[in-house]
Amino acid sequence: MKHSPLYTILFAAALGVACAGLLTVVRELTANRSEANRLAERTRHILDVLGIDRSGAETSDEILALYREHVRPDRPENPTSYARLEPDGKVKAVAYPFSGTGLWGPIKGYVALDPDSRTILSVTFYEQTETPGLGGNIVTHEFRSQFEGMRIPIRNGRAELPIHAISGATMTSRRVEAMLDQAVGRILKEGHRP
Amino acid sequence: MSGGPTIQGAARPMPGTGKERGILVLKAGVWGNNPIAIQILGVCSALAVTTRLENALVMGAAVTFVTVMSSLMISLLRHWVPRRIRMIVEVALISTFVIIVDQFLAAYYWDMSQRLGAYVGLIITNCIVMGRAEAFALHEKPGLSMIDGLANGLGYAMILAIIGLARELGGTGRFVFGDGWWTAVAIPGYPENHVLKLAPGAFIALGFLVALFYSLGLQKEVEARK
Repeated sequence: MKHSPLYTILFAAALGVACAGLLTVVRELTANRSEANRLAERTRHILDVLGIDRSGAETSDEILALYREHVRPDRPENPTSYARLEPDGKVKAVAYPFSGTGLWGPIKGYVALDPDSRTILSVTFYEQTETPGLGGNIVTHEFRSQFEGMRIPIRNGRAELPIHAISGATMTSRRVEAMLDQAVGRILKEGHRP
Repeated sequence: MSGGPTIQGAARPMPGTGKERGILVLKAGVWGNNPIAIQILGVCSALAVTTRLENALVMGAAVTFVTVMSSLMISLLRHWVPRRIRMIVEVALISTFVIIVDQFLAAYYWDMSQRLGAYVGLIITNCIVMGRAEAFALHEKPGLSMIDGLANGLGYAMILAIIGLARELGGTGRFVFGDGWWTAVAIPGYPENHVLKLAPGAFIALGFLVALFYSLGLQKEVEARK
């Protein structure tokens, strides 16, 4: 059957509107839950990267309570970094966000430094779509444990972290290394904490 | 991408009653014309997400949903779709259902949506889905097209499950489900087998499966009926 160009255009437009409408409805129905998942995921990662034991907290509410108890925004003017407070009010660790482009999509995470910004305490990734089983292994303990206690080497005024790559995931490893070097360099440039 | 008109489909009318045709289509998709083991389609995701049985099963379910729904819609619209833009129409419908699956996983199965990563979105480019649309749903009635979509989704899921089973058990010596709520330790003290855990293990397992399906002569059964 031969269709006229006008029919073709109208058909395409109608289909586009129908598909977009369906997707809008589905998005509206799932947005609350997926946003809550995203927030709980980020909170879990902030607690983990700051070394706060969350073994007793299961639900999202318990995790948020734990967060409120132990974590404060590091500086009022910079509410994107998070400080872990000791019971005596001293800062024990500070978590900074970092992000960059991975192989398939954005990679986002937190890096925790000691209060002097000399040593990395921990690194975590809360958003990534790298190849499962290869680049996706950046989230594993095996990969992340190399950062625990890593002194930050400075060469020519820039941070150059000695990161062990994942074999089979060269592209992901390089990009993670670049985004961490850049993030740590930026934290150091902004100066030590007051 | 899609193999287009070369894919063995049902371009000519099939014999028998509706029920017989349904059973024939179901058997072909799962067995004699299996999309991975016989047609060698959808191999990329079959290799990538099969590190664990649980991932393989969820991915199989996601692809099955997409093939069923897209085959149904394309078959319903088959008399109205302008031929010149039919592939764009197919991709638009397929992507709609893939995005629905992606958003559903992000809302109700967060851990899995994190683990499958890009591969849920990449179902859009899975040749099986568009292959069934081109070879079957464009020519057949909605009910039979849905059965064809279901059969090919199940055929895909079955191969993924077998590879996922072989890789998880052979790679780590155990099964883990639902973030550790059920762990079956099959072999205590099993040394990790990195060949099976990484991509080569998937290639080897798939190679054995393809050899098995062809040596059983399953593809001839389907070809003889044409």
